[in-house]
Amino acid sequence: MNWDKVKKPGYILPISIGSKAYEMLTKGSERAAVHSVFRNAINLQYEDDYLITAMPESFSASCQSVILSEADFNTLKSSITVFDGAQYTNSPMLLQKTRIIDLSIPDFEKFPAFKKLPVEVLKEAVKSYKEAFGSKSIASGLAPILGGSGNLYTEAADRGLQELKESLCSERLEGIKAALFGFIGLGPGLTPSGDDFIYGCLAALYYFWAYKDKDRSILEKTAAEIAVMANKKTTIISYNMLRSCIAGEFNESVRDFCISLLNSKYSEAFMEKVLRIGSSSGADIMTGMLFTFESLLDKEVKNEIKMPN
Amino acid sequence: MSKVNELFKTELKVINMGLKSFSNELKHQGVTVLQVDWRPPAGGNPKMIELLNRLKDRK
Amino acid sequence: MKSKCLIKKNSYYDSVTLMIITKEVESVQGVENAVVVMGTEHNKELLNNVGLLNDETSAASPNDLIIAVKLEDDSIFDSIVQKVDELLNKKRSEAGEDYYPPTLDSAVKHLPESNLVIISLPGQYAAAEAKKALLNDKHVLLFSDNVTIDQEKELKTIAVERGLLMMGPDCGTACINNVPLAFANVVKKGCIGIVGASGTGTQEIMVQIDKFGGGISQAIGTGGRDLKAEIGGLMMIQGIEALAADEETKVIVLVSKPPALEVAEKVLKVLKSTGKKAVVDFIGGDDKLVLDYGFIPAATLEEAAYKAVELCSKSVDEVLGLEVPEFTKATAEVEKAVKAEASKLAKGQKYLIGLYSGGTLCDEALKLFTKEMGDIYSNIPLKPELRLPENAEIYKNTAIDLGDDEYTVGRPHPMIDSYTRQQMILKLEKEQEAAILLLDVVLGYGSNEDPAGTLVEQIKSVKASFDARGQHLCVVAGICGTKGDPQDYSEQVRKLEAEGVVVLPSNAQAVRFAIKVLREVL
Repeated sequence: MNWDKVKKPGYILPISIGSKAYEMLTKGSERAAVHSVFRNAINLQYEDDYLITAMPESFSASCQSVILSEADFNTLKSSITVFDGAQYTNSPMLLQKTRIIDLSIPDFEKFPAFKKLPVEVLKEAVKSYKEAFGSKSIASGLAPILGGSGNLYTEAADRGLQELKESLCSERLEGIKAALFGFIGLGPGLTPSGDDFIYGCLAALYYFWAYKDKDRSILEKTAAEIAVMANKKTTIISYNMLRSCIAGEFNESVRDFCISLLNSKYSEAFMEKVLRIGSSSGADIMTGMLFTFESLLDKEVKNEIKMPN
Repeated sequence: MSKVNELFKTELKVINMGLKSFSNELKHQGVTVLQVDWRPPAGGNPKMIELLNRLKDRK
Repeated sequence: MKSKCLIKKNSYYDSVTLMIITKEVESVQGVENAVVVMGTEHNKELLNNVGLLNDETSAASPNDLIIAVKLEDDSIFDSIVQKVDELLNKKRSEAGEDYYPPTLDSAVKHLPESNLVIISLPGQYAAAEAKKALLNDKHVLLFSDNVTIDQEKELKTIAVERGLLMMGPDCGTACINNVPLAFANVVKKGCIGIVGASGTGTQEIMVQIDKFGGGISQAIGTGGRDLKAEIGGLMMIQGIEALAADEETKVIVLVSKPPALEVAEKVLKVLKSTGKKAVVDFIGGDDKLVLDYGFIPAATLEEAAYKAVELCSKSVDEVLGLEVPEFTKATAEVEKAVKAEASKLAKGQKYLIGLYSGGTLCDEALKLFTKEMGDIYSNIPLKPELRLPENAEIYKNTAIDLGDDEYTVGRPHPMIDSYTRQQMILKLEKEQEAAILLLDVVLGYGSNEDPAGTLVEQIKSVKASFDARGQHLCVVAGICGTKGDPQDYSEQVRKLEAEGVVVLPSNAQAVRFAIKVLREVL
């Protein structure tokens, strides 16, 4: 009798799966190394340092996530940590009936109502979010950028921040890129705060450009350059997060937040969902988004003044 | 008395590494059991583990 | 001010844990500030700016955790290191989960009075952990397989030197101080001690001893390779010696596949020296050798159990003269059930199909059937020419060990997950010459929580298909379980009987019943 077989996990039916994770699990290699296991996340590492993250259903998905029922997650967790050790094989996952999560940026053209919002209204929404966020007095990571007393990390970020603000206001991608380089791997956390900040910044840029119906290919090139730069300069988890920006497929709750903001539907619920990403990442992503939206909208106001009617 | 015979006369207290169900079933029977939250050492590289263990042995 | 740092290589802790560490370290008297970050370039630059970078920190990679501290005095650094380790090891969840130490060393520190370490890690890691446990003077049950024979030898040698139990690798069943371990049943305490090299073999013997009114003092597993020449029975001998010195143990039972002759003699010699009465079941091995040493051989696991129970109150000679009952139920009742089943079989139905979850039970079925009826095909055949032909799932009389590698790819063991057996049962529908389906149903800790329940649908369906074409499928199940098992023995029997399954209390009886039915129609 081969007792080792006892230990193979039971079959698992994911509830939903991100497009990149689906592609990897169906076409990619069968085996992965177990990168890390947390209370609510299991990271599996495939070729080229691609991570797939399994999470229970109450967490918002990214394109590299596999969302499982609480029970399946626990099954996977115990089977992985225990039996396959460093190795994991995809075979117990049945994907035929799994919903693939579409995280692509919607075509705002089809919703002309979006464009009619005056910039001032959007600015109001950003302001409300900033206030709500500020009232949480988050002192760690890069959150104090938006106000409050700084810390070791915001001090280090200060110069880059100036450059970023100016570049965002003039929409100079070279400048934005150069400034964001300075944030890679900066600060505390498993995904250092700076990386989360970059993620938020890129999400805001992508959504804003989509909203303005601008060609995003040059933005994609910028994101790709940032991802290349991030390789080996930050943790593997961060690197994956930044790489996923290129396709514009941001985390579900980040997407919902951006869409709601651009539709000027202020609701703290959207913000709260973002704040739940990771254990402190959400706050830094939110910081990046609000900082970027604010700067971009400032520019819009200037443009409106310059071009009457 | 050999250690095995000492064991026969002592209350069983278990450290479990691996299958959590073994822990749960022992607990169910009222046995003291401590589950180890085991992770593959050295990033799961067996060569590294062997090296590490050899280093430790030398101590 | 001094600066000191601690690097944790390839360490991934969630940010909340990292934040807690920062706060806790900063709260230590004499610490000016603490920076806890991953070792990225930008973070190292930052550490440099605040005067916390040294050679060690500068060598850290982005996947390493740096804990850098500025402090008044070097001497407090050790207590900080200790504090950090405590915090990282703690990981107690908000939900109040139990404490799970991350390594064996920390577990031993946390529970120094622990006496047994159970290991079911992947084989490649298991041996190293088992060795650590032994060096900490803990007894070990190593459930994992894929441990090399050299590693096994090393582990067992250490264990013998230190007077410890090294059960396994590949030890599936044990019962120490009346606590069932791994795959084991709940049995009464008693005077019979078992040392077993076969997991399901030990399980069936324990269960049958319980059924015959006996009880177990200790059941020690050795793993399947212990009696190979390379290992030389190190653990079986260690086990025998322990049972010899154990006042509770009056009768010893050994169970193993036939060992190498020199090992068999060595083991029997040690057994002889104990002066205790013993039943030796070298499954299908040489009875004469066992008799020569003054012990009692057994033809089946059930017989080994029966004789062991009798030995508690009788002499060896008395027990040797005993007739072992074929069935627990009265002969007339059994005959009636046999006739009832046989009468429903149609002409041309003549083969037995055994679908087993327990390897030793399957092996026992093969041996009993061969003795009475002749050839039977299998994936674990008694002779090479009786291996199931390729592409044939079933061939004439067949008994399959579904726990064998080829049937368990990507699935849990059939004692836990019935899927493969369910599929095999459904496929029997097309076997027009099949007369009997023989099953084992293993209860106890470790097994599926409702094994009978997972099979009844498929049994019902295949029986209906046979009925529909004017045939009958006689389904016979042997239960390996006790009334004390967590599954509810009576309910398991009831579920099977409700679908017309003939349920017998041992594997040997189930096989005998099946043979009797076949005899009626052949």
